[in-house]
Amino acid sequence: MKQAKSDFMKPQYFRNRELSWLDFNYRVLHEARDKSIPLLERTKFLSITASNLDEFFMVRVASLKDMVNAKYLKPDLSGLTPGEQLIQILKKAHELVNLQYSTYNRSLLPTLKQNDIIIIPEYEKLNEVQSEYVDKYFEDFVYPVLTPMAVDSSRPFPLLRNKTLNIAALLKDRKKDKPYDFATVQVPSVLPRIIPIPSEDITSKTFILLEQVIEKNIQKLFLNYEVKEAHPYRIMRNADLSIDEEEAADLLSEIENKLKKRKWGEVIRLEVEEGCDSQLLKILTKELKIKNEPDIFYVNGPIDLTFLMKLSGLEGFDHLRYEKYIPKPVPGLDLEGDIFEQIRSHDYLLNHPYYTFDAVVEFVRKAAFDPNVLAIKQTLYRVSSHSPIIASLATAAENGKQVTVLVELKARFDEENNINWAKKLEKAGCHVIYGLVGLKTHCKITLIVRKEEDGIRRYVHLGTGNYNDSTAKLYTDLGILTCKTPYGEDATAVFNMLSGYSEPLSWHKLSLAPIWLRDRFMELIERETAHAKEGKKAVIIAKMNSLCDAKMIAALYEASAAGVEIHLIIRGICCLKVGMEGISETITVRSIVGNFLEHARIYYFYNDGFEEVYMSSADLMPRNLDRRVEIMFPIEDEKAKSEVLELLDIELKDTVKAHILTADGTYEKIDKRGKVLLDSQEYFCKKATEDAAKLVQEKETYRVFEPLVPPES
Amino acid sequence: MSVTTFAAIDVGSNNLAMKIYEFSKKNGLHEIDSIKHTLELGSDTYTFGALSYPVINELIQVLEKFVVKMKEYAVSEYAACATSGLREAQNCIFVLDQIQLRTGLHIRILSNSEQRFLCYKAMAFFEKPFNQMIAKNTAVVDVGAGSIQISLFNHNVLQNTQNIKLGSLRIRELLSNVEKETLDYTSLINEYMEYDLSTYEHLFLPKNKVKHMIGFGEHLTELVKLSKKLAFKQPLDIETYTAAFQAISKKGIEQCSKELNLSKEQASLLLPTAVVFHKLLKKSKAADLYLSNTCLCDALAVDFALKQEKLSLPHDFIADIVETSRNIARRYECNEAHLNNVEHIALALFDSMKKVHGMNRRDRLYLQIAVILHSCGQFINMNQIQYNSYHIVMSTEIIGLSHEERKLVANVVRYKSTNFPSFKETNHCFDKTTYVKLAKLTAILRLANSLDKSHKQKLNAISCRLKYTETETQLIIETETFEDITLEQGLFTRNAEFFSQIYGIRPVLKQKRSI
Repeated sequence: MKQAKSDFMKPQYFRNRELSWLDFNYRVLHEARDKSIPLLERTKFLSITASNLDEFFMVRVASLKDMVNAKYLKPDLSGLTPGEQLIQILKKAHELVNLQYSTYNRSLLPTLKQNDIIIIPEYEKLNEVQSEYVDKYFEDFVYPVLTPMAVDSSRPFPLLRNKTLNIAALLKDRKKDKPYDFATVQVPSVLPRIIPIPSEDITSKTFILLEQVIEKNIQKLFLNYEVKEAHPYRIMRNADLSIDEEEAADLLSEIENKLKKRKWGEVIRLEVEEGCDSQLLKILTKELKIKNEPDIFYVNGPIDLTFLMKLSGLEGFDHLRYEKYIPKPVPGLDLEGDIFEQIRSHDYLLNHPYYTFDAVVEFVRKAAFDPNVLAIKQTLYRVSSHSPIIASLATAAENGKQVTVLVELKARFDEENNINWAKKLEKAGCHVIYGLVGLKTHCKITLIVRKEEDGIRRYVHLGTGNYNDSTAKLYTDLGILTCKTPYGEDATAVFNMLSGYSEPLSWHKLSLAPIWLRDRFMELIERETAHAKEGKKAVIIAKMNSLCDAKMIAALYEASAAGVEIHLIIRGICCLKVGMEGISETITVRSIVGNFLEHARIYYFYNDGFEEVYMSSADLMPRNLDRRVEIMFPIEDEKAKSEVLELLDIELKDTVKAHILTADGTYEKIDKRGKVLLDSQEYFCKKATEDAAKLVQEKETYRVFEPLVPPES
Repeated sequence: MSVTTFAAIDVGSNNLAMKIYEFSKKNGLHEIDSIKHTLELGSDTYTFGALSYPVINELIQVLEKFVVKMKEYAVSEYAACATSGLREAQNCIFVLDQIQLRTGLHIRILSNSEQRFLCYKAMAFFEKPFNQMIAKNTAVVDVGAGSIQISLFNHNVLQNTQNIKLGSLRIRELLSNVEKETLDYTSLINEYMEYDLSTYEHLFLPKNKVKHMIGFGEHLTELVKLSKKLAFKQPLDIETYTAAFQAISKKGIEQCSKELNLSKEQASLLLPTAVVFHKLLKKSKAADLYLSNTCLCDALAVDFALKQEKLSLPHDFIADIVETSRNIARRYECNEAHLNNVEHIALALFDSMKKVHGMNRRDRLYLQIAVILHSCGQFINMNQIQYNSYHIVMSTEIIGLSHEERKLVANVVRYKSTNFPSFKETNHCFDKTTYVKLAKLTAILRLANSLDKSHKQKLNAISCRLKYTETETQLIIETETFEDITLEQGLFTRNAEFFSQIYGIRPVLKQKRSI
């Protein structure tokens, strides 16, 4: 039976992306609740769910609120209007928050205490010594930086900063007989949120939260008043940064303006502690113009659990964490030797964080000092604060190389940071470009032009993740180093395009979004469909962070209907549904949530035995395919290809960290009974460690004593 | 191994383009980078006659970026040239000066014939089919922004060439006022072009039954892809092209730009280009159309490589220049036998004085063309032949010659029998070196022409040599003819006077009567 394309586009075939995202956060929360995981790792996961949820509200919920305000009624893929989505999202978010706090209160707090880490939940529970210490701490460090603000007829409600923790207080004037006054004070973000205080015994460590310290001493802020009630609260505002680029004459200054404005967006979420005084709450909701009851979250515990991230790094408790994994050297790539010569011999696959990101750092650093290098070009999206790559680029410019850096100013929440180092690079003499109007530059590509004996040779690094040496230790990402001419020519064309020149007529190896990538994916998927229809074996394996593009999902349904075997490894959002009769019966979806953040994008097509493997910076999301500059590149080197295939194979066999999407839309962990336990991340750590050991052994076996060379006169 | 990195910059009428090439004796020439920026110089020039400040500013900013790019490859040599968009601008010289000051780039203004000639060279190098196709009647049609150029090749030689100001950008600008008033923009363009193209057809096409057409112009390849949505095979048959043409004429600018990922400006140039090909294919009845991707940057690179002797071309382009000149002479019904005879004598004179005249191969070509065209003016009027010939040469495009070169040739023709002016009288029309060259070439032409005054080719076999006596240098011209050469002798003596003044050599005509 032949089905038309539209047959696969019905709303009931899709899951709402926001709800699917919340599912993902549940999976992270699952890690925090997993007793087989070291305690402080669990604490870290809980903290991650909290910061994830914050971002989700600021971006996605905010955007839906905007739509509702604008009376935009167009339903999403799954047929829900923005209003309907908001109702379901908030319901699910409240459940998630409840689970977060029950995890915190019932599981983490007691277990932490058993392990000698004590968090005092309320200042009332401090002993005498601690109490004195806290008061002294308040006077010495906290009091000087506090700015209490009263609200009355002459003083309007102050502008509260987004995501800051505040304490609201009800005051009674001791001299006048007048109804209660309202005051608010920000919990200063310059001070640590979690404060170590004296413990009752030597072995344990005790902490209290900053807001408790302030609450305890709040009377000192309002001397002529009596403080009746004081409770912490936090607001979240609309932070979606959508700029009309066509109108912005100068992109840079426009973004700088937006950053200032962002602080005063609409309040979309208010968090208060359970048992917050009703009169206080009334004032807050009125002043903050909160009309929708579900926008208020009553939490059973400290607001903003992200402080747990700090706690999870607590010194002296290594036994409560995974053993720290140190990325291993890339097999066969000697970073002390001539890196260019080695790349000339064959391509190198870089599998981070199992193998070190130093390979990339060194690639750029060597280029900065190599006298034969003429030019370096790189795209930068998010970089670490003291990025060695940026230092190398600046050095290269100072060494007279032509350095072109594409700085993406629109990287969410990183704008301020990015503007800073963009200016720094410009000062060093780099040509800084800011990409194309209306498109975020998300691809990760480095091009090094080198003048060699037989002419110009171009070295290219292509990756799935950012040029960020810090996150490269935590995110799983892939990259290749190559100097094959077609890649070099394409890379040159990419930078020409990003500099505003016309695009080339055709590409050799790379497929670029927004113009070509979508069509390319369609071709690749449809080719498998055609093979399946001819009765040939047809397989697609894809690994990505999110899948929510309707056309791509429909194409996968069509492929599945034709009999293509499809295995998807999707960490985050997945709007595709599995197990629908005649639609998605041959599709499996798994999500791996582990110690490292799964971040690589791999697309594999069986292609009637002529297997093709691609890697990309793009997920199958409309924003990646239509509104960003993304690159997909094939892996052609046989060794590199087999390494990628192994990676996919192991992840598909993972029984420990994988969650399987079921037909009813929930994710379940694999029933481990009778199965070999395989944790894919652990597997690759072990493998890399073995590789490194072999390398050391080899070095030792081939050791030759080197004769000393006479010193130069 | 020595590898040269070379940059070619084309300041075109609707695009600024730069390509970087690498070449070595071992690997030949290949492109390593290519960038293009849309800037419609022609839009200003064709409409207002001059470039406006914002356009100049953008032009220079882009060229500054080109200079950065050149550094990225440590480019050692470059060639930059500009075509009609800048050439026809009144403020061209000032713009060139600003460019030089701000970017350090020296931009050469190409005359139309130079530009087209360079492109033919590039095609001969890059496009293998070119060399096969031009064996049989082939029209090479180049649609530029300002004008189109149609050249006919046969038996591997260029027959004639014509420039018509129907460039895509020019048409678009000319018709921009009325475009909004019609629903059928295509037929408007059609109508506008019809007269010029019919004239061309009447003058040039009937004699040559065109077999093939080679086209180049921007975005043509994309145009064809648009209609078929599949990779097309070169050369295209007429049906494929017609289908493509019809598709585009229906689609409108908006849709074309969307489907082809072109800017609207670029898309708006597609239709005029497509119409030119459509009409010419119909008129010439060519069987197929081959689309070339060669561009002016390629041409500059090939030209440079040729000069460095790192390349050799499969096609003799000097022969093309000579052949087109002969065809011009034929057009004006010149006496071919006379021309051939004078040409033979003139070149023999030139070659025999190689050691003393200080001129090169290119100058020899000027002489040859001047001889071929020296009497075409008689077609107009038996009197004032030289004057008329001069004007014909001045207004006939000779492929491969720049405007300055053509001016030199025209003047050689002009002063063949009129009084040679003093330097002052030329009103600084030439610099001193060129003035001297003009005199030298004129002297040879006069002398050679006098030897066939009877137009009977009496002096078929001649030999020339220099003879140094104690008092003077003589140019001995010996002929073996048995005919009476009194007439020639007489005229020869008169022209010998002028010749001696220029070269300091006395020509002597000897009739050899013994063995």
